[in-house]
Amino acid sequence: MEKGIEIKKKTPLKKKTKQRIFIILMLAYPVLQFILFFGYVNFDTILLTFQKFSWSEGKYIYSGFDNYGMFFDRVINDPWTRRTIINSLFYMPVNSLIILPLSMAFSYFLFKKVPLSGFFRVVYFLPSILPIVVMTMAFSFTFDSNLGPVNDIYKWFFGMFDSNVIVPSWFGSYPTNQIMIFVYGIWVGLGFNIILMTAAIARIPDELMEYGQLEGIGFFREFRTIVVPLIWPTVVTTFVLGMTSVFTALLQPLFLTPTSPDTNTIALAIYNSVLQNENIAYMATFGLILSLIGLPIILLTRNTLSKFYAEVDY
Amino acid sequence: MRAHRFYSTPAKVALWIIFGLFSIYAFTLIFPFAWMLVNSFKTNQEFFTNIWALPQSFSFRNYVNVLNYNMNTAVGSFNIAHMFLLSVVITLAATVINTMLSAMAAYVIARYKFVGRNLLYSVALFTLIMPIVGTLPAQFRLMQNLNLYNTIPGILVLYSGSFGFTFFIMHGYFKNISPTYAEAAFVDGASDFQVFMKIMLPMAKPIMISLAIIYGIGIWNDYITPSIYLKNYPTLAVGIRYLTQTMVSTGAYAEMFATMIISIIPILGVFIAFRNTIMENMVAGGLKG
Repeated sequence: MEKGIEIKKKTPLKKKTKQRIFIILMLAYPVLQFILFFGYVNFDTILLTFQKFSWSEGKYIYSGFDNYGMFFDRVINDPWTRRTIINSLFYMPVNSLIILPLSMAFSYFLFKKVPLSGFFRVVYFLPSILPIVVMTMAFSFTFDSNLGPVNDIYKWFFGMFDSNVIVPSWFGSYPTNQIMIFVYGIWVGLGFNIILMTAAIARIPDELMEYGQLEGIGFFREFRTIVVPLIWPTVVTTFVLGMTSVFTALLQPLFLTPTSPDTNTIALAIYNSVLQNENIAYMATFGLILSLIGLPIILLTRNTLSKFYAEVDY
Repeated sequence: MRAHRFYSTPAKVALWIIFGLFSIYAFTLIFPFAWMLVNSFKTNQEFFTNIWALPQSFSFRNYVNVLNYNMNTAVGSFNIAHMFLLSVVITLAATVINTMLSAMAAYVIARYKFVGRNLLYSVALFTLIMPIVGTLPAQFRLMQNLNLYNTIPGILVLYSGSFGFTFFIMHGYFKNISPTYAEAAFVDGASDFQVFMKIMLPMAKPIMISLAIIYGIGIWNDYITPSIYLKNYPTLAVGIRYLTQTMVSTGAYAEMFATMIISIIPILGVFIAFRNTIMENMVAGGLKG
């Protein structure tokens, strides 16, 4: 009897310690990695904005607000910096106002069992799984100004109206090449967004859709009054993702217009500076200031849009 | 999927127009790859003569010739086979490490009460929603200071971040698992570690495999990270860009098409084999809210 009580007293304590060790062991690496590569990196980004690399001393030294001063000076006086920012800003309307609504409409009809919808769904997955290197190469080669298949089609089509038709150099100069980057973005982004939207539409309960049909409402009304409110959380998230592309767009200009400095973006400028290990302290400042301006706007948009329709659990 | 049997005539017309648009879009996605596939069997001479013609003879010589192209780095010379192997090793290692660590973190945070648990979850959620840009320079500096720059272990450390998409899906999964199995095992004297390894992980295996495939595709395709942190060891995603540029500059277009086809075959193979898993889980409600 006494022995039993003793054991009972001991076990919970030992068990508690064992549990603690277990928790610490399981979380040690993930938390450490996170503290270093998220916490410290963000903290160091702020430090870096007050530093510059001294070649004579071979290390980073304090430089006060020099980087900040340089940022505002360049925004005002340097046309390349301004163009970089403006190019990046255009990614937002392309993603959030063109690709998103188009993909919502596409997904709705894909869901409506258009013939071959299963096949389409598989094909539209391609942009999400193929490497962007290959997607961009396929795209730019299709428009290659000497050997690309689009040239022949263009000549054949416009040749019917004008015998001296000249094929434009699609990636040759600004702003045509910037527009081509957005065309590429739509081509690829449509597939990606359709995948997201069809998944959201597929979650809508059958009863709700059937109710609409019994009432005999048309496609447009069903889309507007049933589908859109019910997939709204996904729409908001995708819209916000489109806004963040202002800060993240980098590989499209890098791969589609590798030799053109005109199509630079914020993220590409930062990437290139790191790749060449040049001016990284200034680029950290560049990114930080723009994030500080952009993040509140993104958060505000997110909150405002979320209020359009009450979130429904289904 | 439900079928709508009673469409009015205008609705039917609308659906056929939509069908036309869908077909055009699908065609534009398939066409470039089909065109490259056909041209990858031609000689360069044939290709320059007519970009639309079918190959005169069916031969894999371009695919063999691709092996003659190398990318030279500070540590050696890499052809497409080396790049392929390197990508396989890195993708497998990164995927196993990341999926396992994410599952470990997700399990402990979902099933145990301890100080800081909610904080960890909230911070992780915040980082997933808010991409903070401009941290690349500081990350680069950290990698250099840790002597991880330009090393394979270094890139694996970068890929081992355990609070991403996989973490959140696994967290939701472990949260909803019935506690009875674990309780029974604890009564039988199993340790916390045994319960995790012998009961929880086997139960979570299907969802973990799905998440691993999706994560693995992302790593296989990743360009930015290896192009910065693994300059001496080109993965396939980084290397094919260099190889195809070399081929274009020497006019070896047919070989370039073969390279592009080689680089998409593995990913298409994985996609076809795991089509349903990938299509169901790639979004998996992860973007809701």
